[in-house]
Amino acid sequence: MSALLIIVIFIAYLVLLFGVAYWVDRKAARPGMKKWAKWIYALSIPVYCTAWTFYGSVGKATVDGWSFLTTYLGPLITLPLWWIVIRKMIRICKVQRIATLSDFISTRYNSITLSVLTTLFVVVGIVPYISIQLKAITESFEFLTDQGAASLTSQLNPPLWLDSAFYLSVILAIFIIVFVLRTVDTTSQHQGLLAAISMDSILKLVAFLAVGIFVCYSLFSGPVEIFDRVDPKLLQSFTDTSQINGLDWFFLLLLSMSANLLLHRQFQVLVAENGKEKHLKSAIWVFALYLLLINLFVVPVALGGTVLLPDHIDPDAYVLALPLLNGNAFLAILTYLGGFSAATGMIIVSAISLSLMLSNNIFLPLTVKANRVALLSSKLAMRSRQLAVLIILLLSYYYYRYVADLFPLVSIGLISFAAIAQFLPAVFGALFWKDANKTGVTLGLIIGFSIWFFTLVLPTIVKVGLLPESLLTEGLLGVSWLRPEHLMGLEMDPVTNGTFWSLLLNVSVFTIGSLATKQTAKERNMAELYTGIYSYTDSSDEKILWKGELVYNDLLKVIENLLGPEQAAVAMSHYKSNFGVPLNQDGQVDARFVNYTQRLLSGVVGATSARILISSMAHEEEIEIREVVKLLKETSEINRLNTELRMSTLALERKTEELMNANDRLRGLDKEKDDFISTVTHEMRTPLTAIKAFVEIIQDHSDLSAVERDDFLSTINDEIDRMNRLIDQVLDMEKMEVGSLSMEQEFVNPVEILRGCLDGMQGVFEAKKIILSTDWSANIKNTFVMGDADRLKQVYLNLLSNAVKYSKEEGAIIEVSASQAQNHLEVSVIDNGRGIKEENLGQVFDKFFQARDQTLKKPKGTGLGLSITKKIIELHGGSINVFSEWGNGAVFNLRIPLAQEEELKKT
Amino acid sequence: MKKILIVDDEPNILISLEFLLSKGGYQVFVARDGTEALELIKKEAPDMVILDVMMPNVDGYDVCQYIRSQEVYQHMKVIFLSAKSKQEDIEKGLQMGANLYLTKPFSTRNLIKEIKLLAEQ
Repeated sequence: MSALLIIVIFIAYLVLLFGVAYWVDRKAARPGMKKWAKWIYALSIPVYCTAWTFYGSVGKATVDGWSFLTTYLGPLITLPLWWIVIRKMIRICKVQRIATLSDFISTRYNSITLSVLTTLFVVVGIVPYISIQLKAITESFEFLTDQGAASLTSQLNPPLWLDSAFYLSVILAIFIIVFVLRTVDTTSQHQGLLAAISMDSILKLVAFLAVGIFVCYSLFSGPVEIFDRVDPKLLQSFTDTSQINGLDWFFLLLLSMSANLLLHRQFQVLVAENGKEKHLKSAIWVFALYLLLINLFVVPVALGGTVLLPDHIDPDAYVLALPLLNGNAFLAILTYLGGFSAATGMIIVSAISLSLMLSNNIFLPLTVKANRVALLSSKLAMRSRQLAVLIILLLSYYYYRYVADLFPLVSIGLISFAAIAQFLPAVFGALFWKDANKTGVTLGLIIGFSIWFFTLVLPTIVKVGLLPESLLTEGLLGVSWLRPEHLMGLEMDPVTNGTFWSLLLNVSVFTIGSLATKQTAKERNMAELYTGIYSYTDSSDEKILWKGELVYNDLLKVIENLLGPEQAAVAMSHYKSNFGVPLNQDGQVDARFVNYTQRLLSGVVGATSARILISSMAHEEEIEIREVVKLLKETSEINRLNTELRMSTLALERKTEELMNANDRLRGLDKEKDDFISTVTHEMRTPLTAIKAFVEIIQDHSDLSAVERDDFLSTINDEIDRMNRLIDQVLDMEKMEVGSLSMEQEFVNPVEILRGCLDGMQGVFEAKKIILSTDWSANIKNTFVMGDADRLKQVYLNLLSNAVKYSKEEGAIIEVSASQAQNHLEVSVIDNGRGIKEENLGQVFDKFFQARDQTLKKPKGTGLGLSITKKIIELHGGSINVFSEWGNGAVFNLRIPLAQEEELKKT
Repeated sequence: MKKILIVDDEPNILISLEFLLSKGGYQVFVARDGTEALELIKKEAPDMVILDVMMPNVDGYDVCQYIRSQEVYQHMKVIFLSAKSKQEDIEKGLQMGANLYLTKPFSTRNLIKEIKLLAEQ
């Protein structure tokens, strides 16, 4: 078969692949695409099945019987656990905007060292895996063009410029850089890429099934004929179950289980690219089905190959050889494409994810550390990722060229798996063990990888000829207990040996290390957050321990630099409308804002770089009281006095600044007062105008009908009431501003008060035919808050009367619920009336805001109710929020801190 | 019969003025905000517009500016009716091209008299 034809075909396929990715990215925003998202997500997970699956399974089956299945049984066994483990990872990553495995680990253990270590180890572990994909593509290419005439493994490497594998690596790198790494934001989903990967998955499956069917029913008259004709000894390796080595199987299963969960490319498609958590459910059974189907024909194809094919053909190539040497060129090409897509799928996802890690954890932090913060821009981030892709592919090429060529696909794959398995303690510790800390993890990782290197990588270096063979046969320094493949003299399969020892020591050191050392407060925070993520579901701010001084303008500049001015403005106004101005009373930047900034930046440069950036700007110090005391005690008397002197000078300076700020604030308040007064007087003149007008009308028009006169008189009365209420509320507001609002401070039962209000309003509900629905969570009626019963009643009445005022004419429902979350009482009032327009949502709590009615109904409110309500709730230490869609009702949510049991007991 | 457009976001004021002006023999149109007012002006081309100033989105000033920018509405009379009663507010209103600026609360008797006067011009 002509080489040119095949090259054209696979380039065409690459173009198609990336074309699909591009097209889907364009259409990704359209609503029609959303329903595909679920299937695209599910079908991208089989990227787990690489060229190893395609070619290597068959190869292994001819040698080792059923053990090829362990690679797939492992994931199959873990599938039920996905809903627990993976879902937790997804939730955590969404909350913390984490996009890579290294960020996941380093965020949890609050250690930048770990992010660097993780990245390096993953590179070391995955480069071999990528190289075997290159090997598979290259060799299948050669096989197709030579009709299998030459032996499969060429011992001599052709010069670089003639080596097709080299060109392949470069082409792939270029494709990835041009088509995928175009945007900066690392956490936005790559819908297009996933769609292309799903296409790959389908092609792989179809090709493999096609070959299977071809072999079973076209080359033979059915699977039975294959079993009849195969060499009985070979058949025995499948039927004789005593041949199954339990220990080996155990470790192989362990490896594949951990690989499935931890491989960073699996992390990418499974966790980082997850759109909705519930998509995970369909992904689980789709993947299960996929695994079953793709393994269905492995054994028949393997055995059929031994029967029909000449002995010199490498079993890894059976899948391709069978159609090719039996005249079915079309199927051969389809199969080649299947294998090609399997390999490229893995390479693409791996390279992208790895480049992200390299860029975020190594390249960009180096830039920051070298004090080149000014250089840091979105362009730089993108360029460093592109560079990383190139480096990874070239490294993989070199590994292939000098090492991978000499070993069967499967054994190198397993070495990679063993490397990935070293992250088991780190990840599972992060998810489930609060005490796991960075010392334990770091030491465990280092020792695990060292043993891995010694037992699994060293032998390959020996076999390539770079180290003496005596290392393997006699052990390190001649000590037979230290033979890399048989540590401690145990005669196990080398892979089992390596996995066993590296994991054993890794886990032990991890456990001991974690128990023996103490976590920092920050790490404790993250541990709390990770293990208990479900109770912190809405990304609440962590309890912050920042004690640094941050300059607001500097932060703003960095944000603008990295996000671009438009996006920065959007982010800032979003922050301001939700949380107000980010400066606290001392003029320092609010901790919540720092957190927000960090999360924004991590979307661009990764969580680790963002943290470095923020700490370098804050000169933040974690102040541990014990440390400070120790330090002071250790220094001499003079130093101590010096320190005290400096501190009091600093304090003096701070006080001066405080005074100046207070002055500014007062001036600001003055202006506010002016505005308030002019608004209030304006609002008061409105009812006066109506009253005066109607009075004059009644005086001047004696020919008014009784109905008209009555109507006008009651309007006058209403307006007078309205003014009165307004005056009351204005006085309330005045007191609240000054802080002298009369508020009792006693223990009251908020839910009882609420129920009292509901009872009192029953008449109104009935008259207006409003259905009331209530939902009290367990024990909520026995909770107390510290506050003022009358004011709370005022709040409830305000919310309820608003709900009534804006309720539907027919079929109105008001739902009131109360529940407890994180030591707070949460009360919701939900109506299904006409709701609030989006542009008004931010203003409903403003003074005098009233949505203009569409019908000519007389306004019954003053516009101050909600702003007073909000003030009262805030004085109770709580907060209030509104959610609404025009035409679809409104939800008012308030939260108040509950009184703690200890405080209650004191009374 | 003269056409008068009343613009105010406060329903009670609209009701009272509509009553009075209908009794006075004028053909009355009402608008509850600036946008409605502009539509009605284009549709009905009233002879006089009574404008509240403080309205959400499109306010009285915007409407007045629009009227004064169109040749066609040269002869349309504009009366501002507003609770903004400071000297500078009154001057601003008159500078915008209003014929009259009355402050709230106003006397209806006075208003009717002024309207009659303006209508005759």
